[in-house]
Amino acid sequence: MVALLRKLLRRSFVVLSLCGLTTGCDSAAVGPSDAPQGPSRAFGIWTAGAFDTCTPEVHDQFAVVGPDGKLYPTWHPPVDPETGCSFGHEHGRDPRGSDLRGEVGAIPFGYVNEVADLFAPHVGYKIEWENDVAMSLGFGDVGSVLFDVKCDVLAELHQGSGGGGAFVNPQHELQYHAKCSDGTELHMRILTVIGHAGEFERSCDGATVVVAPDLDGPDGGGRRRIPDRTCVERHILVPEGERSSFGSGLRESWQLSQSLRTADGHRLASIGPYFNIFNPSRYHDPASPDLVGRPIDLCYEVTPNGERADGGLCDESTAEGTITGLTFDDPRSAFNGARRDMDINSIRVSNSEGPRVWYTDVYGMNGSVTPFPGSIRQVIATIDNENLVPSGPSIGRDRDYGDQGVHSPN
Amino acid sequence: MNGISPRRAIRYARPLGAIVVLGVTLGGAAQAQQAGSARGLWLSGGIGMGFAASQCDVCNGGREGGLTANLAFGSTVGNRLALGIEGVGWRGDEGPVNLTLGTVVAVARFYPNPLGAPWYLSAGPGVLFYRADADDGSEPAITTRSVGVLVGVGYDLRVSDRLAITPQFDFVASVGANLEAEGESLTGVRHSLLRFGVALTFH
Repeated sequence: MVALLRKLLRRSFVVLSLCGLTTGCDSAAVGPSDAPQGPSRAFGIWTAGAFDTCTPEVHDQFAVVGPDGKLYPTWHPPVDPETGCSFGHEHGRDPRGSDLRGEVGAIPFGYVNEVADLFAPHVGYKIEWENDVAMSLGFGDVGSVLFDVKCDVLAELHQGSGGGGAFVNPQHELQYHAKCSDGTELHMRILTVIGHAGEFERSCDGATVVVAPDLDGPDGGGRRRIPDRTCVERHILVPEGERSSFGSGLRESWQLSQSLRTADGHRLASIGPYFNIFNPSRYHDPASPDLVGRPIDLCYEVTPNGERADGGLCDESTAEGTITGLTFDDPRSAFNGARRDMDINSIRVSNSEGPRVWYTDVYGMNGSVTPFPGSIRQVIATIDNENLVPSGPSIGRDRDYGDQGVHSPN
Repeated sequence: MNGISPRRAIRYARPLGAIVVLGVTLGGAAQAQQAGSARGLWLSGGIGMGFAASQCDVCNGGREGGLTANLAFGSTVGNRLALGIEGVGWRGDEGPVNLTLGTVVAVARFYPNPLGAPWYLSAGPGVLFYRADADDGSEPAITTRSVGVLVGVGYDLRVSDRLAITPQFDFVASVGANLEAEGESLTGVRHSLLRFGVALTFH
């Protein structure tokens, strides 16, 4: 009985938290099982792997009803607080601590993908947030002395780093929320297009790596900087006596350039955050059948010239070489994609004539004041901050979400 | 510029206190020599401490301490009124950033009680300048030029027939200021300065 009550209480909390004033609550549901439109395609897709101890039923308790009345998975800790079982993946920082929580509610993972008729693996949804972030308005030291703008920022990006999807796919769900002391406010849900389809930028030198030249897809601003075998050989597999530079050889940086625009092209708002991963469990390896190389394998590799990985994440994973035979999905591997940060960068708003609520297509384009089929509700402050654009620092760098059984794919 | 730290307050309070004590001592000794308000031309200059703030929707808003100086001159008009021009300057710093505020106003000093205690009220409109720039000039300065107003109160402690030591308290504020930097403009800025000082006034 107690367990049942706990479950009901948790369910009630999750659903109530959806109904934010700013982003709206189109559903009158009172519990996940009452979602009027049934489950989304993102709901109920997670299954336990060999290292995971939770059941899908436990996992699916963490759900929320989205703006479309469908049931979506939402944030949960890596370990179920009720049973102590582990899910083996993480979704970043617990959003319940965000000052935006009351307005935003629980984040429906996969809502934008649902509208776009796309599917994305559950484990890729990552949240980062920070309250009262000191922003810069430019003008260097002078500006930092004169001005004082703080923002609450909360972002969800689908950024899995356990497979090869990001080598070719530039489209990723983004739910981005910011509210600042200067009046800047933005609640954006879009399918962000980061760079070009079928290719990525090599993270260690910026060269374009074409993976699927014939792949069609929308092109967007920004770029996906991802490591490949060249980076690995340059910075991680090093001669005897040298230490590997995992930061140079393995870091991913997804650099967004995203805007919301009206149908006539006017830019209502734009952001340029970078989402970085410091310990992905993949790199692009054209010699691999699935094009995915596994960093953990580098810890055991010795090239014909005697080069091998030394130090850092390899030492951490293998207890300085004493643990052999780790697979990429072993929770003991430090290459699990759980060390990330987010560079907030600039938040531009040019919506002084309003209204505060716009409807755009999934790419943030064709903004209209009235909803249309396939549109997503966006909230933009009715201000223009173009002359003093707040720009934020990196957040989350000192956090590691990778304990408690988290492993690749994550 | 997050308000005034205790250490900074002490740093500025000490010399200001010394100035006030000196002024009161000298002035008190000369009180017996006072006679009605002076007539004719007058000149006054002094130093003091001031606390300036810039306020706007995105401004820090805290008050920053610094040194001030003022210079005023003019002519008396009757027993109760002295008209003139007054300039006030203030200089502060915050880390590598220099902050400067100045104003030049057409000032009127009104002596309500010319035969008694020689205290006055001052007020006047003019122009106000503000500038924030980096020590090494590596960054563009942020500046303001706007209408400014000064209101204040002072007391002429007579040292002799022609010389007075004048403790002063002034408030300077901008009206309708814009911050300008690199072609960008921020409207709705309010600069202000609270100033405590001591001047020598010659009549």
